Amino acid sequence: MQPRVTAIVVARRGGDALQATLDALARQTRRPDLLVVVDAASDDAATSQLAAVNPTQFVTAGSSLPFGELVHRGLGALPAIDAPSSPYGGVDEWLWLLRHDTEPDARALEHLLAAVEIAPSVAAAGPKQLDAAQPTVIAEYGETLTRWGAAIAIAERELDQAQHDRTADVLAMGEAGLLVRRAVWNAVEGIDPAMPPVDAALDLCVRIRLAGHRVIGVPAARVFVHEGTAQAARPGASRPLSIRALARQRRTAQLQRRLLYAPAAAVPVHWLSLLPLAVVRSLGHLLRKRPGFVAGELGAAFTVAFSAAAVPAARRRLARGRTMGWSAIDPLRMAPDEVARRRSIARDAELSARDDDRPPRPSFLPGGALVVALATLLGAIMYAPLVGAPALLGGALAPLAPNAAALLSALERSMIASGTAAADPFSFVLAALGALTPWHPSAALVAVWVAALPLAALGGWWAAASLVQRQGPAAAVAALWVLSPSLLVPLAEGRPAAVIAHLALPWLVVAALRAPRSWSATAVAGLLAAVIGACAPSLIPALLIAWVTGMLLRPRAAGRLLTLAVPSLALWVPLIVDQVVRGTPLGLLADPGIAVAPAPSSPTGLLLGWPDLELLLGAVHALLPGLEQADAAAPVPTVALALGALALPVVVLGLAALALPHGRRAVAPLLLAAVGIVTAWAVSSLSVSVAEGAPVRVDVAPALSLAALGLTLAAGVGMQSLGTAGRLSVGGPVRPGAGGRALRVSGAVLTSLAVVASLVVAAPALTAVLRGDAEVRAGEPRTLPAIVAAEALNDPDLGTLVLTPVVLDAGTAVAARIERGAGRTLIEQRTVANTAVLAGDDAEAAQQLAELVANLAAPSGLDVVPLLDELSVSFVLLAPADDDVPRSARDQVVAALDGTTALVPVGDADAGRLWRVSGTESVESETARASTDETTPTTVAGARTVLAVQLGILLLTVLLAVPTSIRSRRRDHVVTDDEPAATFEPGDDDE
Amino acid sequence: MSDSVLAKGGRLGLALAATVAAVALGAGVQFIPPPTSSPTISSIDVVPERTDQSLVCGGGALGLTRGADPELTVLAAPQRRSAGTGLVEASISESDALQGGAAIVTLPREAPAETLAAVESTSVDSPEVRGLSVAECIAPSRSSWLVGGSTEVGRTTWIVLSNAGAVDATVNLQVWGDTGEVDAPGLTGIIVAAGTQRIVPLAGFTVDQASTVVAVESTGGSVAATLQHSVVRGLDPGGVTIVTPQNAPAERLVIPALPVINGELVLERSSSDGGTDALTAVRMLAPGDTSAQVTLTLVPQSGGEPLALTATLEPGVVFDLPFTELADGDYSLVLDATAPIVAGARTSTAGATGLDVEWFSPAPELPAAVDVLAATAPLAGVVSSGSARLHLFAPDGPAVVDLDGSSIDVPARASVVVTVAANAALRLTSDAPVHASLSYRGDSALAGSRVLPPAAERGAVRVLPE
Repeated sequence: MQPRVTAIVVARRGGDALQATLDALARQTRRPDLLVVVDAASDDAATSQLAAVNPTQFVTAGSSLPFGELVHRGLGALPAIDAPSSPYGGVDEWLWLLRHDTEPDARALEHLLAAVEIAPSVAAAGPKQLDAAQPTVIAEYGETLTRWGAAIAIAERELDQAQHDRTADVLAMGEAGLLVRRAVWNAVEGIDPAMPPVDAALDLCVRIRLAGHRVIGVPAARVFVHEGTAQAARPGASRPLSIRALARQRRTAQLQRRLLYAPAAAVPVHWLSLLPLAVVRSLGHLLRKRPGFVAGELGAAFTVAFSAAAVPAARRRLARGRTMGWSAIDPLRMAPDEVARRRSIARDAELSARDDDRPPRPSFLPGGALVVALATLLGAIMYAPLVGAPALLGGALAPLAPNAAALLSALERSMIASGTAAADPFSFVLAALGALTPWHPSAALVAVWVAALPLAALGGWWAAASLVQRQGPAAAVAALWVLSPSLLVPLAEGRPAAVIAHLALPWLVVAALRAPRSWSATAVAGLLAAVIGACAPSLIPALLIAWVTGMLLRPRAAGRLLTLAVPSLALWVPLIVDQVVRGTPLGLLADPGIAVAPAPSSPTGLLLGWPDLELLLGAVHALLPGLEQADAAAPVPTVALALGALALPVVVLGLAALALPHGRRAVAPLLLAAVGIVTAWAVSSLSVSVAEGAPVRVDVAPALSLAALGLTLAAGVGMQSLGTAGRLSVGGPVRPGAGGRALRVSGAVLTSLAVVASLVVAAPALTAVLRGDAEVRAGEPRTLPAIVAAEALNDPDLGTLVLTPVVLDAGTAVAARIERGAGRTLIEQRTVANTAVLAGDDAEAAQQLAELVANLAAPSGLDVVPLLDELSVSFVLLAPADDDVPRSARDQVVAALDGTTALVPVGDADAGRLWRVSGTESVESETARASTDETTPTTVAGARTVLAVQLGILLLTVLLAVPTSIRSRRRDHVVTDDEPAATFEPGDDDE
Repeated sequence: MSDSVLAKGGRLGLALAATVAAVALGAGVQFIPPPTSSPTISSIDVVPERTDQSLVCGGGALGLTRGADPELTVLAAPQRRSAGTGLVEASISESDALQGGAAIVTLPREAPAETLAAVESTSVDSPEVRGLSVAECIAPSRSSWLVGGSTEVGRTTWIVLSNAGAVDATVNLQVWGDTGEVDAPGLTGIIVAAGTQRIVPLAGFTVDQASTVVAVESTGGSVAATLQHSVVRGLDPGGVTIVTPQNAPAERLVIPALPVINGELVLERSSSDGGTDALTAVRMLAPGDTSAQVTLTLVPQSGGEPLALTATLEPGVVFDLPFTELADGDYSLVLDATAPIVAGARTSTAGATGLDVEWFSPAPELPAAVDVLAATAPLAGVVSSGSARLHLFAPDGPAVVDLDGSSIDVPARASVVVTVAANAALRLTSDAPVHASLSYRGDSALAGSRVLPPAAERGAVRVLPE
């Protein structure tokens, strides 16, 4: 009973690995009887390498063929078996499968044969695969299936400590160095050519098991693997297989095995479940921060679902060879508790790896917590008049949305008088905000106002914490960020977009710094960039500059950074289309929300970081009378210099950072500050929309927020560097000395000065709401009088014509608009409509409205009832005029309205003087009902689809963004003085 | 440590460069003007449709019925003269006075003419009220200032509020006396329903007040407000007059017609009850918060030297300035004040059948080169030997007034008086702003009316649709 071994070497490429393999074959203590070489490398060097070993048979085959097919070709070249292969007599034929990268140990074949000789039931035996690069590490030893059919290696990437040497009977062994009884190979018809290479051997062994034979591992036999199964299966030059491609192959194999091994009746069910399962698992990949796996997951499902005849052929092959029931392999599957144990070990390893990798951060307690607590207290006191208000009014504020349903419907592209209007990206931000308090969307804005200071403190602290390691500077940065005029002025003047932008900016810094390493942070940064861009379109150029610079500086992460733009694009594309189609691309710059002109800015104000100096100057002038100047927005030089001196410590700290060790960390923040101030300067005189007869300038507050953030962070770096000055010197001995102490003291003094000065300067703006000096005020969730709001409950399309007398070119004019329901809401604002003035042409609807208004605002013989009906106007409101409008102008309008028989005076209300259109008390006329559709925004065809796509993209980004892994509690970071700069490893945080 | 020193030097250089860059950036932001772009604001100018023009004539002479329970009644019906093509006349019949009411003269929007004018005259001779009263019909307004009246013994003053519109009006009154503003219940919230006339006695708010000024503010609809003032001296009726309103206080007021007729006889007759209100006088009020210095210039028609006086008005205090020893003749009175004021001038006449009093209100400016239509009151059958005179005054510069084809030279700051036919339509055009009033006189009768400019041209309304 003599074993005869046919070694088959399948070579896809030449090189050192192949040579090592061939040399090892030659060194075998038990040499194979026959050597078949299959040359699948289309490369002369490899061919000559192979030819040099004088094989029994030399077969040339196409490089794209699968391993099983190549083995089959090699066997086909051998003469037919001359004697039946039987354990009881004659020659025992064995096949020894080798690849170009599998270098067997000198005694590998000897040990394998020794194992199979004493066990006639064994039809396949595999060696222990060791990593050729690290010969003490097991590359793979044994394969099995879980209860759910997933392939799992019994040992993989483990240090070989003989821990698996007692494992013998296994479900399957890897293909490298596998010794297979040739008769059984023939009986089960070899390797399935349609099976992906990673699981081809597993499938073969399962079929061998089902045919009634055993598969064993022989730990004493060792094979050194250079490439690995999946990589070795790829034709051409050897390139490392990406983790994504490997996952895709494994998934494809698993799905294919599912269709193969399932009972025939279950196959259609499995087939139908392929795609739905793939979608669900893709979402899971997003949640687990592996967006790269999504394509593979879907690709695998498609490949298997449409693999045509491969599955039936494979099922028939399986059926032909099978002699045992499936229960035969059940004991060999991996037990579920073992699977769970392995998973938890893997997770722990991953967490600890990530923890080690995380950059050091200062402790939040007590400094950061103290600043946040103080900010909470300050916010609760300063914005106490707003606490509990149903809505905020004043400035650019209005109720957020009439109800929860409007949160969604307002996001659709709609029809307006001058064309179509895509929803503003800011509407999405507002919708998300309103969804926090769906029972009363406007309350969310009140919450933002009251919580603005602590939120800013938190954001400022985290942004600082990603740059500095000491808690003092981080807390100081948080305090400076809370007291920033670019937050306090919009809070006092009621500009929600600027407030949200200010609150979101530091988090963008935090997320963007981590984005190159973490998918989760990338998604968060993308979302935050979208939020900031939506709130302040004027910041988009600055964000683009930062984005492109980031990609240039980190070309390796460029692909991932590229995806940062996805959420922004999802929000902006419809708006860009609308504005560009209309020919008013400049309109994209318009601040979202209600078009209300921000207070005038001055160059001095910009340099001091104040969007509107009036709040500050008002207090200065009250304290020091006689310094007033005609232009209220520009201070006299002495005041400007004094204010500049108060702002100086922060600038000095920021610039001083550059001169100190680790100064390079201040470069990017300072550049950010420069970009911010240039942006503020560039947009300060631009206006792209018009409200009530006056141009509405672009708000400079967000750009100043950016400048303040950069400067504050640079100052934080400076504080830290000064605070540690003298205690270290890079690469040199510690030099305790007077110089270092002086620097430390000056750092502490400058830091305290900066915080105190900004508190003093911020006081007027901070206390504005409490003093009743702010435009923002608590109000009812309506901009129209209560009686209109009450009627709007029954008729949300109720129209109110709002007239405002304004000064225009030294004369007076009447601004007019029609509001529906209880008045304007933030979420229904459209910049496309606000910037319609850029398009220049008066729409027909505007003419119609003008005609109505002119005949209402002056004595007229026109019967206005048909016009009012056509526009379905039920009320006319004369809004309070500005102080510069002559009283007589307003009185004339009042007289004319009073004299109009179609109008019944209702009285004076907070929002102005109101008239009701007579005859509209009960049911509106049918004509008015019918015509409603022409004037109120109506949905455009396909709007739902566009919205669904937008929301889909955002949802996927959110899935990717939500933190899903459990974070271990960080140990408090002990500040060591010679802290190196945070190291960024190329690996991912969340994989 | 050479590389450390090098690194240190590099860092310092970097910081210096950054400082220089920061200063340059700051200077740039401060001194380089930022790019400017502003959309052109497109307003739409729409001329409102022409509307019906209406004038309201306040009605006849008011008095009380005789008997135990006296009621307000109309003692004598007015005669009306209206001018304009295509006029439609209507009346308000619902009034607080028996047989009371107001006439509404309407120029419909489709009428060919652009202007209209109307005037009413009433002559009454009852035991309590006698004399001639003439009042031009006025456009309803939201604010009216009535300077005149008194609530002393024997003096009766009615506030007549007529709402000719289709919208109810809510009227708030303010009454000033020589001690300041009067606070009384019932001054506010007087509802004048559409198509009704309310007549309110001034004595209901203040009694024994020699000098009164009434401001009428209406919300909702507009009202035509006039005062009827009648005097009884002892037991004899001493005249009746209708005060027509000024629309707003102004810094210059012109009373073109202030005739002094039989001045000595008036003083002789009027001294019977010790009253001083027969003297020619001017009543002034600065209703604002500041006092006003007023320069009064009395320009005689005869071309004599103008008489200039100055007076200081305390805010909110009515001041009556009497002119004693004023020679008979026609005068024009110009008041130039440092703050907006209201004013009116009173003069009386005496004749064979008794006394008559008249309050002359300041006449509004007639703009240059605008066709002005006026009507003169019917006097035939109203008062014996009556005549009408047109008083013209050009405060700023000489004017040539075209009166029905004949031109009249009006020198600067001179008073020109022209006799015109009674019960006629006058058409005036001037090449410079003038003020014009009419006076009517007969035997023991004196009355006046004003020439009012046409309603302001319908200007385009600028609308900014959003």
